Amino acid sequence: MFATTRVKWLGFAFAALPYPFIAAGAGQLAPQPKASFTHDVQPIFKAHCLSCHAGNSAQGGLRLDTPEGVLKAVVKGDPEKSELLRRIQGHGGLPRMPMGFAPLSNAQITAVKNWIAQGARIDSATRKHWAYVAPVLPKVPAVRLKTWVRNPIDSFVLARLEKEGLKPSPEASRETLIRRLSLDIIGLPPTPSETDAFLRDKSPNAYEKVVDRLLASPHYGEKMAQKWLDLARYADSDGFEKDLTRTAYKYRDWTIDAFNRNKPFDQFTIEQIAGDQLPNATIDNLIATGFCRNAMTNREDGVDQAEAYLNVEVDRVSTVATTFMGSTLACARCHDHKYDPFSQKDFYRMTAFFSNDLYTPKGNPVYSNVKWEEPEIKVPNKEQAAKLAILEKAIAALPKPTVDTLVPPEWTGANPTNVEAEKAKLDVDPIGTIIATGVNAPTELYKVSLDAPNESLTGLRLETIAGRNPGNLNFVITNIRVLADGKEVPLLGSSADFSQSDFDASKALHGDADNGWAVSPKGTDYHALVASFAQPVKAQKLQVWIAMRSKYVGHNLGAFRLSVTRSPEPHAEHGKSIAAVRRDALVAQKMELERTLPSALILRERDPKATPQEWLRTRGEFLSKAELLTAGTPTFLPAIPQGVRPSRLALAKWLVAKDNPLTARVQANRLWEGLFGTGLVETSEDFGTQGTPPSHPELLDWLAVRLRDGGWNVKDTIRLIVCSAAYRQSSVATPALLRKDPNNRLLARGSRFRLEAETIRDNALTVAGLLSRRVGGPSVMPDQPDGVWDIPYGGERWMRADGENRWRRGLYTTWKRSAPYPAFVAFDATSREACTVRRIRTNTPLQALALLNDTGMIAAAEALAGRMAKEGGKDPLRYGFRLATGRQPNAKELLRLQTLKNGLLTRYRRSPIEAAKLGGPEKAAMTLTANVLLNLDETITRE
Amino acid sequence: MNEDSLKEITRRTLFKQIGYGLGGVALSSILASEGFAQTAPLAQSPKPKAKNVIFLFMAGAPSQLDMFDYKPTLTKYSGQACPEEIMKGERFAFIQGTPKLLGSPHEFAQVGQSGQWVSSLMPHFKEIADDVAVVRSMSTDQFNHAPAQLFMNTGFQNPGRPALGSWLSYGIGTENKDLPGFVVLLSGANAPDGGKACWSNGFLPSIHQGVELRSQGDPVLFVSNPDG
Repeated sequence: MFATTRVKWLGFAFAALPYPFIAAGAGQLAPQPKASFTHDVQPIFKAHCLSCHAGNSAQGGLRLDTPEGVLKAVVKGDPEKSELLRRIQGHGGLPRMPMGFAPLSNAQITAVKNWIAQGARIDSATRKHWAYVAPVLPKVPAVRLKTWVRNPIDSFVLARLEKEGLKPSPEASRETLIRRLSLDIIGLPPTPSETDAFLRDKSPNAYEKVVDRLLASPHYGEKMAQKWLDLARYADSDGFEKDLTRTAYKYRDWTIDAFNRNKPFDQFTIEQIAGDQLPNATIDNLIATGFCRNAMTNREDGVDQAEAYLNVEVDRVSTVATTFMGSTLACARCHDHKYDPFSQKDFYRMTAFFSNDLYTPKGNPVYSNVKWEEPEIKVPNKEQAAKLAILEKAIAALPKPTVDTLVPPEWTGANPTNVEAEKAKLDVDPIGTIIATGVNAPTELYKVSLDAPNESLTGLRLETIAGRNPGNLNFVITNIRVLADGKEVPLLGSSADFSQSDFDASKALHGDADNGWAVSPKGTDYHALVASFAQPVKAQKLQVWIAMRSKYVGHNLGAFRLSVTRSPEPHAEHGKSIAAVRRDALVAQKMELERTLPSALILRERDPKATPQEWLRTRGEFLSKAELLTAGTPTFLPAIPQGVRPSRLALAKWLVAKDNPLTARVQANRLWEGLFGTGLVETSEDFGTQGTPPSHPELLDWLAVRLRDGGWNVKDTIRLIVCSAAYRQSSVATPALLRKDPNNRLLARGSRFRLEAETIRDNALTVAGLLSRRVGGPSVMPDQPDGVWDIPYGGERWMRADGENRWRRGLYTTWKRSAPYPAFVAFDATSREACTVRRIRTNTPLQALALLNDTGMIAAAEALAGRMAKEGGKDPLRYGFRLATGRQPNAKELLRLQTLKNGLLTRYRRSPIEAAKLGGPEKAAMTLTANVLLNLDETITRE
Repeated sequence: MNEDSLKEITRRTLFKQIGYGLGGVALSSILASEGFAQTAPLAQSPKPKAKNVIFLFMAGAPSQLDMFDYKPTLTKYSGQACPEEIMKGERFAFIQGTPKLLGSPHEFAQVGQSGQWVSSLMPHFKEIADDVAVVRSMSTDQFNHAPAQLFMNTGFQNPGRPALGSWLSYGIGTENKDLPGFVVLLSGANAPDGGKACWSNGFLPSIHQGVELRSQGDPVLFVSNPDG
């Protein structure tokens, strides 16, 4: 019962989503005097007919998604004889169409009738959807109000306005403009002094100066990356089940850096899809392929890896199609696309581009735990690279190992004068053996003082007495320190007669809880460790600290002896020269450093000569292999040049080739969307027939051609758009404009929209003076309610960051796919499980709760209150208002704030216990006032 | 959900792996909303009969083979090697060699006027048997926790699609524009294997996301008044 109802709803919902906009965009705004198929008839088909009458499985064999199909149902010039009209009118005794839904309106029926009567012409443009024809540079239209035009964008916008009988709005105030620019370009509000400087600047290019300053800011890349990471479905976890953490942030930082360097968009595209295939690929080129690697991976045992890998390929091709082609190619996974000309073969041909990549099966098929691991590389940061270089240089500079015979050193037993332990009881026997009794603590530190012969000593020997160790007969020494007359003795290296695997003697001096020196399975033997001094040491008193701080608890020494030597080769005890030990120590340090380097997820080709192929799967079902297809592009779009191997690189170059009709339009539209809140094509994720047509088609093409032919210059395109008069308009909507164009598709006013989830946070933190300006680095975990990250198993926990990392920009927040950051999700952020082009803005009560009560927001309010009191002089409320909204409050607003603050103060004076929680009545009242300021509609809105 | 993809019958191996938690879907008849998420198509909607849908998603619950899905033939061959024709072309994780069949150890009887088969595990079910519709035709081709749960909740094994409740919220709307139309009641200590994608709005506007009511801490995130 439930299932059948649901199926109906689904069908209806799928069919219904985009059409109202089409009707609004094409029908009401641009009335056509003559019946046009594209404008008058096709939208009706899309809204009411195509959910059944499209594709190869169209109901009754009638297709209304192709010109041929439509023409079968009409008699040109004779509406009454046309089956199409008869059926939508319910004539002829057969069920009235659309079946199961309300009949078409009289206006709609008349539109179809007129079109048939006028000859049922389908103009050639509709034979190929506009987005599949490469854009050519349109002529900039002539306009009447020439003084308004600042650049060609304005001519396109104004021409349309004049056609509609509308006038553009006046320019917004400078306070509004600089906040708009700052939030749009760097994602942060301007400081009061930046605003003041702009208000004072009377030069004619004052505005452009602000634009250039912002485009040069390192925070520009962060703002741009924020949007791009949704497309790249960048996250810090694998997704699925355990959803384990992955180290992927190098890709995020690559994105930020690429935008900051203004990497041309074609290069940006090529590197992300095929950076590994570029000649002499750099580490950065490889990191860029993280764009592809960001796909979720199912690492649960029992998963059929071949199937999981196909899903990964499918995710990659779908992401590329959505991001660069604005196409819903993924619809063709199971069947030919219902509305766009993508065939199922096209889908698997495109998928094949991603079928030739490297993976290594790891695990055991007997336990069903095989995983296909894809490649990673280690990426040092500047500091780490410098350290590595120093180590490598030091290793290279070491003298060649000689084969001199080493003379075994002579050891002088040292007499312990004092012994101490943190927990155990230490005693010294007559021959100088130190014996531990009492508690075997989880970790220990022994301090032994020795009388030393006042001569040049070169090393220390630690002998462990067999069978006396309390912890599984083993011990783990994690560090040794030597003090000579109270001064630290730098140690050169260590050697031993025997070391447990992975617990080498060289690790005895590292102080690392993860390793150290241990001797299993030979705990029942005598062992000796020699530590050499970097310089000979002359002292009367030596103090030796032996630390056992392993994470493997309770592995402490039970009995040991210490002795010293003057031999120039103390490690000869174990047949090693000083030079060899020095080399070992350096090599160990280098390995240790490499172990801690962050990794990046990358793609590599499995066979750089192969022509990739993939099976077409019937109905998209993994097991139903139907036909092996060679990688290729959709047949209705340009092909890859003859003779070029169809690799990922070929695909990437094809995307940014001059004859590709989609990429430049899609990217130009995306840049527009980032600055106006809505794209010229509102459905920026779908440029196909189901998407909304562009509000200003010529403007879109003009921008696209300019982007493509102008070196794919992203910053330049942004500069051009924000310098237009169209962008600078005030967003105040008159009642008449609201009636005429509620969604501002005509751009007769500036746009106004709620900030994105991360920007709401960044804005609040900036206003509060808390924001860390650090760019890049590992992801961080700011305040989050307990229990959000309650994964089934895996043991990872949300550990709230302290210090600077608590106040990083939103895009650095750890993005866990199965449990995304709730304060962002409330504001329409995505889980990054799949590529998302557009976060559709919604308003829900959860948002108010998050802004009012989230501990991070409360902390921001406290900080803002402090800032108002400290920096606000005599008028902290005015100052706070200005920080939050970027403008001066008017008298009425100020009075309301004052009343609020006074009311709160009275209330807190009456409830001192509550007030004390926020630092007393005055602070508490100010904090709540600040909380209100951070909650103002204007604060979270870009005007 | 496409019936073709539901064609293959499930195997015992996956019963423990499917599903989790308690999903609740609240919806009601159409209420014109000022929100832009709800638009003209609602006017064409067939008149809905259902006022609310409560969807219990119970991972780790007893298998349907022990409750509603009477399989006498399976019981008959219980303990015998699985015939080759059943294994052929199928993939079974964690199974080596030829596995044995396992029928339900519980007795089944027909109850109510409808004569539904129900196991002895639910002795009181007969009193309500005729008020319950049991669908026995559902199947899945997903045999791992996370994809199977996503498939159950969103109709697709990969994330990115709206959950059942999101579609209902989108298609039917909510009775009260200030309260969510789709709420999720979680029980137990952990989130489901499929993650929050099990009640995600996918590509629909996020006003249609399932709002979690948690069993520990604030029932709704950020609802409690902070100190002071």
